[in-house]
Amino acid sequence: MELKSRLPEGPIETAWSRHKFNMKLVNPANRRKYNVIVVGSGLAGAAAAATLGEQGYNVACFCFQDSPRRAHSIAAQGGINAAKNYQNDSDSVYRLFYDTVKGGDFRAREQNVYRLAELSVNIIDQAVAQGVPFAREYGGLLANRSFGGAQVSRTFYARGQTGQQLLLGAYQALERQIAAGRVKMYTRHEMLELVTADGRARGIVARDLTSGAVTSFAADAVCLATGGYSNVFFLSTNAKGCNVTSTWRAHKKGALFANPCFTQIHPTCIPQAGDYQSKLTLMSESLRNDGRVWVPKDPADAGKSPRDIPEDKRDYYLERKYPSFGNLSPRDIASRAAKIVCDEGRGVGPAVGGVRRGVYLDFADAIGRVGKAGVSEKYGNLFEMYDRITGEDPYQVPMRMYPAPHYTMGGLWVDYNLMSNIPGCFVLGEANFSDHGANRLGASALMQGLADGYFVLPATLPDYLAGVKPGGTDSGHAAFRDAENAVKVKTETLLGINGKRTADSFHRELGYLMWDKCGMSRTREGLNEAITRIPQIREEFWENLAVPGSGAELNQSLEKAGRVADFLEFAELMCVDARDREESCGGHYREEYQDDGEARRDDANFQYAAAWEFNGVDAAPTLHKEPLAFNYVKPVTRSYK
Amino acid sequence: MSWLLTFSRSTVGAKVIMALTGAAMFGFLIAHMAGNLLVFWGAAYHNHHALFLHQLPELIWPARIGLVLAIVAHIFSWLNLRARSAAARPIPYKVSKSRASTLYSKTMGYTGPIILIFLVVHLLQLTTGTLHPNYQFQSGGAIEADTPAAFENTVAILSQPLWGIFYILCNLLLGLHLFHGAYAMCRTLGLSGDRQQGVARALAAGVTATIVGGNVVIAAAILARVVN
Amino acid sequence: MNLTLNVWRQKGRTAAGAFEKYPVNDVSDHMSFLEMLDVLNEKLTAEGKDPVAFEHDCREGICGSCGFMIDGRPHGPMPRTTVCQLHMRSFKDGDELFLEPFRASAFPILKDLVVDRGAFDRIVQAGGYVSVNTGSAPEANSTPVPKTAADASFDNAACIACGACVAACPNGAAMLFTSAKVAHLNLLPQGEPERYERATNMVLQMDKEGFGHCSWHGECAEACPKGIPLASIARMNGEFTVANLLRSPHVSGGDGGG
Repeated sequence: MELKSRLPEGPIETAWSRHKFNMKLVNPANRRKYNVIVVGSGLAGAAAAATLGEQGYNVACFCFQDSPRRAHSIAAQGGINAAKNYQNDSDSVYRLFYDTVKGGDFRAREQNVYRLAELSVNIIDQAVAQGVPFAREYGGLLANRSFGGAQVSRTFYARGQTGQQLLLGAYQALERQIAAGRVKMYTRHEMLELVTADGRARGIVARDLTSGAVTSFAADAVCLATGGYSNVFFLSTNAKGCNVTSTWRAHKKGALFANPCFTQIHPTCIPQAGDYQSKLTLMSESLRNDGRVWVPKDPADAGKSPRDIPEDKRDYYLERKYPSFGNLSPRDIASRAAKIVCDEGRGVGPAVGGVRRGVYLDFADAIGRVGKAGVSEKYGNLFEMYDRITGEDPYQVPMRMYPAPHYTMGGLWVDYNLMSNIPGCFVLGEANFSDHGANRLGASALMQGLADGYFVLPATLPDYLAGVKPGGTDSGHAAFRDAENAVKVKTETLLGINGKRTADSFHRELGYLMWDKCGMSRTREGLNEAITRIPQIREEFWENLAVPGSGAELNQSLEKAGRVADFLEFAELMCVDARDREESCGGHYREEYQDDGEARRDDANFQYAAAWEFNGVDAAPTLHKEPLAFNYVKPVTRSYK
Repeated sequence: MSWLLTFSRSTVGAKVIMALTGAAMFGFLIAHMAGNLLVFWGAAYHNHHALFLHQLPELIWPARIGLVLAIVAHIFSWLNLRARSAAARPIPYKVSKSRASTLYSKTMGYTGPIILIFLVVHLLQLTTGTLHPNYQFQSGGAIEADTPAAFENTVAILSQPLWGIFYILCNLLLGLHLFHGAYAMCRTLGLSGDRQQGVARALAAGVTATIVGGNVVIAAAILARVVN
Repeated sequence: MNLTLNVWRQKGRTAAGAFEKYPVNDVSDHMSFLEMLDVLNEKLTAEGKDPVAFEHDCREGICGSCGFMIDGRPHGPMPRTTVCQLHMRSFKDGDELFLEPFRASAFPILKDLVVDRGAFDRIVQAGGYVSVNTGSAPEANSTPVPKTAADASFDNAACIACGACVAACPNGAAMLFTSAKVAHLNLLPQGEPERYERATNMVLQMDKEGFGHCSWHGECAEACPKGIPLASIARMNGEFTVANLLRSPHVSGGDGGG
């Protein structure tokens, strides 16, 4: 199979404009004849569905939640980058492009990233026009802040709820199209199959989560905007419902899955408190601007109250190891450093499974410097949130933090037009692999989701549609019957196992294994263990799963079981990809490939995107390599010493 | 006029009607209380006030008709809204706890009908004389003979301990209704700013205290035979 | 700690429901309320019983999925908190709690503690947006917005559409939800051109969904996990009244662009 990435040639500054000009268009009068399915209603999905509706296509949008506004984009806190250069600090589209390619550790396509940086400015215009209440200065103009160690202030934000406000903007645009009859919304519907026929995506099969009805929906194109797969770790900052089901099932129909091992771990999350823990809560990275990270020097002090540990018995390990960046070291470095000290037995907080996984983030110095009021003004709402969750007052005792899975850079392989290798199947936002390479910069996820949804897909989709006859396949086609049957059989199988263990217990087992072997740092040996262990868990799952109730009702256990079944297959691919990539880059850290703790990237052998082809659940996948070229940003080694 | 129908049928419109009709009744209550304060100046002043109003039918009758319409609209809007809110939650909670409701807000649906009953009794006693033991008219001329002796009639009722206490109690209940009513009226009519919120509260307290305070002082003075 | 839960169990939309009593033992202070229910559900599933259905997703208080009544209060006893952020340290050993779904005829019960809040989406469809097609936006800084207006708008935009306001209101009103969206958009210059149509159409849709009216008890604002101000309702009333009595609002949806 040849990977046709369709990257535009020529100067990168004009590549997207030239590409748009060269693409085919669909006449406005013909647009309503085309049916387009959008799965997912987060930033990418809602923005795409709304925009395609405005353009006159006949859109059907699906989400598993009770309302499109609940998609997990809503939980993003920090902000959204845009190269507006409002702060006159020499920012530019080129600089945002440069920072993003470098931040991604040279594993993303230059052309994609340049387009993203270029579109970032349009996103802000669009959001403001929709009524997104971004932070403003007293003069009434938009405020910016520096985020995630960037040297320019290009991040737009809406208090700590930027994701919520941007999603509501897209949601409102979507609801406007629903009211206008241009988008038909299917809430509480879960896509369970991608339907293909004659080598093209033809529609989906979805289950109505309220009635259990399994229905086929035919379309001329299917757009998947279903987010990432951090929940493969069970405990992550993702919402409980986030899953890999739609992309995994598309993968099983032939779509290549690219770079699944590229996952991002966020260093400042509230640590696990007990075995019952259901999710982890992220605390804004901005806390590291004023908090100092430490653990006791002596493991014997780990159980003591932090205020009883004198200054000379504390190890401010980030300041010690990385004197120039200190507590503001990049996400992956700060995360791994925390894991190392906890593995040494110096972690703090409650022991879960015999290990204390937590480090202190101490504001005593900051409170001494600017006073409690000064700290409260900056971080008041975060301190309150921490207190609410842990019952500890961070003004009195240091916060406890531990890294948690947060975002996944990998996803379905797509070309420059966001189309997967299955013609007619497009993939947007976190669900695709395209723009962040091996590591995502802070405040870039919202940017990518909205760029894909508002601007890229609406420009590239017509190029595909113009080449197909509208209404090519209806839902009576045999491919739909087969897909519906597959869904029904799977549902009945899950319900009929009648075992003893819940889907959650399998998910938890898988998650702990993945966190241990394929989390912040990975080894060939550990990955081999996981690759042996995952099929065993999967086997027990299909023999000993308990799903109460029936398939003809609202059955949350059944929904969960279907998602866990997919994670159990997907996890293996993730480990295979991690084992195969014998280098350390971005969020992927292989202990064998390091220089004194610093990641060692191997550009000579691994400067490619790894796109995996499905060959069967128990068969080894086939690797297809898309080589990456860097003509503008010269690969260099990251160093934060 | 379909816009008026649409407006009056909406929940917000119905509340605005209650607020506007409530405002009209506030106006009446203040004037009514102020006129009755004349009892402290004696029978001549009080009766002359009644005579003065009686000589202005072109003012009195439209006001009476207007007030009756306001009361009817107020009640109809309330019945409409009450039916809708009952339909909005047909199954009550097993356990229900409130955090913000006040005695005033919770009793509006009870104080309203009580005030209506009081109003009817009051009209039958002192406007039509139907329920009055010794209803009198003024003397002097033809017009006077047609005008009730407001002072004597009022004192005859309020000096009876049971009636006096009844009037005072009804006025206190009226106060509960007016206090929340005035606040709700301001809010329903769109007073939304931080300062306006304080204005609404202060206005509600001031108007309620004036009306109820004035009425109770009059009734208490007669009951205590300070005025006779 | 040990607790006794009385949970409303209802198979489906039209089925009859009833409370069932469940003891829950060895609950940790650090559990969230939903994690406590997870533990109960694991136990029920192991016993071959149907677990309690409740809506949840982000579990960090922002998606608005979760919410039910705990002892007569939406999201439980702690102010400004969604039930997913409510921790068991708010309760004490031996407590007996009643868990009921949000009750409103506009929120039909789907199962146990899960209700259908689609009415909120339909209210937004009636006008909770700015009619601007993608691509037609002017330069973001071409319209300055006073910081005070932007902040007040944000206070309202923080609504998560959980439905606690409806659940807490003795009249089953959705005034706080609706007015939050009206205020969010009408306070901004971007929302100005459609302000009167927005207020009118959203109120009329709210009525059509079968929500009740506002009696100014203020229960909604107290129950709101995001602190939406009660004043927003007053603002919406003003806009609706001006729109209908002093102007002639165009009562109908926009054309949706395109």
